Amino acid sequence: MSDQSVPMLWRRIKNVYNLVGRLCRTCGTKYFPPIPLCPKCRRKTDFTDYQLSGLGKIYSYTIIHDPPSGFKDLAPYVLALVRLDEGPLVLSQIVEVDNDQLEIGMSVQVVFRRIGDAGRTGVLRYAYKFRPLPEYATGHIIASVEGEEGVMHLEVPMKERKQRSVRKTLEAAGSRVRRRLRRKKKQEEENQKENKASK
Amino acid sequence: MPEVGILGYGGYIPKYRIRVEEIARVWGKDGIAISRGLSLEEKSVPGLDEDTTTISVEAARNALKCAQIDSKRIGAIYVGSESHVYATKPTGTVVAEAINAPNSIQCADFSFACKAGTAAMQVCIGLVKSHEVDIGLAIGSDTAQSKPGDALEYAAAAGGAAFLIGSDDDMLASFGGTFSYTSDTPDFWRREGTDFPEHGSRFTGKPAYFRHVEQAALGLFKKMNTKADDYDWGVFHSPNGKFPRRVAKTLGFNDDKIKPSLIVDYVGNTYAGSSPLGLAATLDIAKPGHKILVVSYGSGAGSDAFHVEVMKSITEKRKRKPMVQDYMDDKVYIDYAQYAKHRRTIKVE
Repeated sequence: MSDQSVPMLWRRIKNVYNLVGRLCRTCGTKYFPPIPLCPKCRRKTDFTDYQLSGLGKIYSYTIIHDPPSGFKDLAPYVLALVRLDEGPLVLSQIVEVDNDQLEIGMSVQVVFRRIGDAGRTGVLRYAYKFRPLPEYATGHIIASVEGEEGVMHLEVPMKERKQRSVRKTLEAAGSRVRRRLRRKKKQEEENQKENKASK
Repeated sequence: MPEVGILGYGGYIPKYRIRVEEIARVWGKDGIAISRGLSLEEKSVPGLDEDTTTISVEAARNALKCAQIDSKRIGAIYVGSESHVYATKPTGTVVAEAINAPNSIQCADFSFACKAGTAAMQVCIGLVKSHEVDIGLAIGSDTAQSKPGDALEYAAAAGGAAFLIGSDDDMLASFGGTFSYTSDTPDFWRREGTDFPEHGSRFTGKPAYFRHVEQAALGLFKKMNTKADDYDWGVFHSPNGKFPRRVAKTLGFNDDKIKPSLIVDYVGNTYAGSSPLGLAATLDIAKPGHKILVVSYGSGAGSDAFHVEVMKSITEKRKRKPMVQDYMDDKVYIDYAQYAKHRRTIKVE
């Protein structure tokens, strides 16, 4: 990432600061990093931004001992493929981990960190990295569901996470929000009708 | 109903620690004597990829988890620090983007040595009280700088806390009043373009720290018509473990009342994050109805004092985020060589 231009970095800010991916409303698949077209639905693609929860498990990993320039002071560091709870597979560095304890399937949580070394004069780059899920984690992250009122922000409490998957919790919470929005819209339409009738 | 209060708060302390004795070993000093003299065991050290911005973001995300409000309601973001990563570009804009705040916000970075965080809180209180913004986010965070071998090196640590300030009915604590005491006292400074701060050694005590903290606290007592006995907890800026204990005694606070806020013993002096983190640690254990006195201190010099009253919703709200104690317990010790790499006093490229 250290060789990115400033405009390229700026374009990715929304996605890499907050793990905002894409949801194809046609087939329900979630993508990260964002792609321009759903490979399953092609021209029927109906994309919307989707806030990922930032929780996942290590799918595979490697330890980098001979890093590229800009990453020298971090070596040896862990680079892993993280399977997010919502489905996408993300390439990311794993921080604050004891290499002896690293294992496939380890639960991880997103953190906000500096990427690479910008020297004394360059622009600083920030993005997601992952760390082993600490025991004290209370839940993450403020997920969003797009409704007619705008984006509704939701929380995934860790207690619920233990009982059922984040995905199911989110879907349930999402449908609650959608139901409320539908009810509200219906109410407004009825009010309008009443107003017209009274006129 | 109080006009303004805390809707959510969150702290963050990096995972790495170095013992005072390990630093003393490198410089040929008596570690045990220094540790006892400063009342410091160890201090936190930022990770290789952590800085004031990342600490601010983690603290702000914890505050949002605690408050469970829509981040689009935030109208102002102020970050106080003396280790902002840029000389001109603000830290607050990165925080805003990282917590999904709207673009229609007031934003600026504050600096006033170690009291930049509480200065940010005061501005947010004013903006909320005057209905200029709905919710203000005030952050105090630092990756404190110190010259290798200097007395400051034993204490200069990393950490921060964030406070969402608003006027919602379910606020977890209210601000009764605030009082500041400021004077031109050059006890600690860092000139533009230099890497490390300088200080006036023993001059940082009586005319600087003690005078300002005491005067701010006494001024607040007078303003609020209170006395030390009215407060259940005291939070004082902690440049080391000795100063806050001594000032608390002078003002009439016993050791038990300041115990929760004295994270300095095991975390060090987090500069602009010090009194905000002390307040966060106290809120983690306080009961509804408790009163807290918070007094910050920033070299140069000034102190902000706050009268905080804990409300009913705190018991429910604070469970939603990690406690300050959780971060204190989650630690990995590093030696001085690793510490030098973490603080970038060893240049790799």
